[in-house]
Amino acid sequence: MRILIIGYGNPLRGDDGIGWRVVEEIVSRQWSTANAQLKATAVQQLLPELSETISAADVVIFVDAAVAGEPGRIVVRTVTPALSDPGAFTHHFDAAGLLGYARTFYGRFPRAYLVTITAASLGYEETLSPIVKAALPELLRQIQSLIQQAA
Amino acid sequence: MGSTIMIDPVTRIEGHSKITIQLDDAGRVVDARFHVTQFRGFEKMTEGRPFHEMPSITARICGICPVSHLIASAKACDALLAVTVPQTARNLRRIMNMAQITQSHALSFFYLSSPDLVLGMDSDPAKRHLFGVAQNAPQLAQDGIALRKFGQQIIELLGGKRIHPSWIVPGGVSHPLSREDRDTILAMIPEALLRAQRTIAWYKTTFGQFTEEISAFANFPTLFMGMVNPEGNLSMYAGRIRIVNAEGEIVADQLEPATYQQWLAEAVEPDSYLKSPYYQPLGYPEGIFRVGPLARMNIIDRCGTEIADQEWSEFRALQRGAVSSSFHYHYARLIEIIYCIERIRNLLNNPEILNDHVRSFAEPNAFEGVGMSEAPRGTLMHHYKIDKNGRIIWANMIIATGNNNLAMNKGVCQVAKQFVRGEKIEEGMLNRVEAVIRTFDPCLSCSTHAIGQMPLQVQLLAPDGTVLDEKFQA
Repeated sequence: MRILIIGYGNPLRGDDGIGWRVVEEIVSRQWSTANAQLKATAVQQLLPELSETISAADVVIFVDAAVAGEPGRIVVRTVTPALSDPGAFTHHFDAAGLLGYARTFYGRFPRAYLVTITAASLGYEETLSPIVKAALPELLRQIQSLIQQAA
Repeated sequence: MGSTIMIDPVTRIEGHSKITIQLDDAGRVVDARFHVTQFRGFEKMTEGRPFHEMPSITARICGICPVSHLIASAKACDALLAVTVPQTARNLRRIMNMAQITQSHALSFFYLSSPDLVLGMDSDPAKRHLFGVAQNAPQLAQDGIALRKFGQQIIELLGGKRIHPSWIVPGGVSHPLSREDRDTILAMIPEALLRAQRTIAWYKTTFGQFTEEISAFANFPTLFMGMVNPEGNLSMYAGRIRIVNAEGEIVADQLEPATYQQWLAEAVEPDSYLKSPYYQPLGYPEGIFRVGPLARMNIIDRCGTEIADQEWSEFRALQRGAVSSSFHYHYARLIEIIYCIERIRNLLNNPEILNDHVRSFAEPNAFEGVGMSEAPRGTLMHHYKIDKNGRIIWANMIIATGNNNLAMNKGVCQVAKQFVRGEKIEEGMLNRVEAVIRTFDPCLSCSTHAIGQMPLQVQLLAPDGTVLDEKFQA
């Protein structure tokens, strides 16, 4: 079982860096599972080149900030492959589109989850807002729960 | 008084622009213009900044080719420091530059242009994208993704991140290459080379289908400009300028980059934020020239690597003199991908690449510095002047895409005259007008991000401004 965690966003824009922070926490805490290979990576944006990497995984957990809802609200949902907007793939690309690329180009795609937390601040800052920072332990707990279920 | 067709914005290029096509009363194209509608202003906004910040600031000009600006800027700063950059650092910069050229060329060829080549210029625009390529030519799509990833991985290994790495600094690079990372890159070379060779072999079997486009896609005599090394070979990082004419004859050679103001000038047109550089001795606009892959393949005596030279020999056999059709930018781009992969391998196989002396330190020793390198799209220049405190008091940047501005405009007009007819907008004809722009792979400062979709809007206007025909495509 190969589990891949992809945190994405802009770490220079406040809570949009939550994906990076989650990956940092996972790496620094040296998360591991008995029955799975665990890998965590942070990127500024999802790009088609990631499709090969995710096609080789069994489970992918995307972590991102959201703008809708109450700040600090955590949502976990499954993601299925979709055709991405072809005219904008260099600047705008989402998890479903990436899965669609994996399916089209490599013939397989992993089970995937998107874990989001609603941002409170997306200003020019390299720190998380107090609300999102306070929710970080719960966010990590929910991601860990997904990993344990998958493994 | 005639009518005007507008293509606004042009799609599948990096940045924002529009095209207007002027028709006469009989519905014939009399003129066409390519307008760059975004304004950046980096030359002005950098005034007052410490010079050593320039590589990091100017890299933000572009999210696709930040490495090109890092290199040109760092070289301008090297000149301000008046230091000798260690040989290992120069070679490491070369490797990163060629990794970036590889990934940028892969983006241009596979992501942006291959839909036209695989599916056809007249195919349904709703299916004319990389997904469509994957369904019709899956190996090609996979090779494109892998080659872009190859270049990006090298940039990340060297600079710590794929976009806006801060590893290239005035005086050299910030840290040496580890043995482990060297071996990782070398291990990726054979597969990358195989993919590039497979792609060019496929391309050579297909471009015969595009004879009409080859004849009309910016196919006219111009000068060609680019850097060569002292032997006249392809040089992406350092060297001097060579200019050849349409007959392939050398017009000027071994021009020192720092003297560019003696032979290069920039014209300004009222309908575009993109300047129009020209070769000064021939005047404006007769001094029109082209840069980038096609120009580089036309100016050199050879590439300097085994497989690329074989491909280059075939390429040059396309035409006596310089290869003049801009359609062949695609071909040249693929040869350069091969060259870059081979050259990266050769540089990494030299044990000196692991030398840890990779940076020279100094305070500013000159008040003026010029840096020049070959970017994916052509020759790039940064020119700075500083005060006694090392603050920028004046900056000039001549961007590769700008160097092609006159040729892009002339090319749009040529294609419009060939393919646009009447007062009804046909998808295929408009796609060809856009496609000629795509052959140049213009990078119109893609760090200006779009919000949402980038639709194509085309309007056909009557002399009184009435919209005769209008189309949108997302």
